[in-house]
Amino acid sequence: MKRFIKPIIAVAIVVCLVVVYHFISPTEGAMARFVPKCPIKMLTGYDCPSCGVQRFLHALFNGEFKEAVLYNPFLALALPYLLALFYTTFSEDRFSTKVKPYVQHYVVAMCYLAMYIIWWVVRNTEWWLNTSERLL
Amino acid sequence: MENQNYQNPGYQAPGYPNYGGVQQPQQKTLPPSNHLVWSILVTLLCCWPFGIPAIVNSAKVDKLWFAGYHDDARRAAANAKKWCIVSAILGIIVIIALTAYYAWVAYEISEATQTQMLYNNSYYGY
Repeated sequence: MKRFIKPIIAVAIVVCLVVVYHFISPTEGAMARFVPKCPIKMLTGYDCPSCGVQRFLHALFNGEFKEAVLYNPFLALALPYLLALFYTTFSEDRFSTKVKPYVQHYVVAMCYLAMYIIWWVVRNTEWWLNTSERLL
Repeated sequence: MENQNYQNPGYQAPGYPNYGGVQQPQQKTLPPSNHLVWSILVTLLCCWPFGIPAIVNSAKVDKLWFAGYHDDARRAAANAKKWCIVSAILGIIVIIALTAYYAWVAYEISEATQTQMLYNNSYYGY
């Protein structure tokens, strides 16, 4: 029984996330005032690298993949990597122990960090702001 | 014959460190948990300036461990955990406080002006 507690909690969190962000839009509607806000965006006006997570999830769970990617294309890369990390950290089957040294390799993690910082710079340029606005 | 002792891998000359031959039992143990999942989660969702040292330290753990620097690996893992906790606590507290304040201000304004759609022009979500 004890070994099922953690998977059950994880599935419950994911189901809650899907249900909440399917129905609640972070940009419009009466519930928009209750979704979390970012202090850095409020103080500086710049987008963080993960700005757009909630809009991404709302669009994703409503099947609007193009909008989701335009809100934050970096998340389309980061969420699969996060899933792979969860799998290799918490699963103990033979495949996960085989791929763990590659998924959690120093070079892979550092490439992720470099892409994170590059994306932070790129998304605040005039070019990206114009492009995403035009395509949305 | 005494000389045969040097052929035996289990033999260790007294007073000398154990170079090669016999594996240290310490090297067969698993590396400490590198909190890479939590570092990356915290960098994405909470306070990202404190998540970056967490990622750097997490990434180093396995590399240092398999190069034989066990103490450094343990120290890096502890540092990663520390930065994760700092980032998570700071992020959660600040975001919840800001959200509550924003909801309260929006409620006050909507009470005063009877308008619902205040958010279309001033979106501060993330």
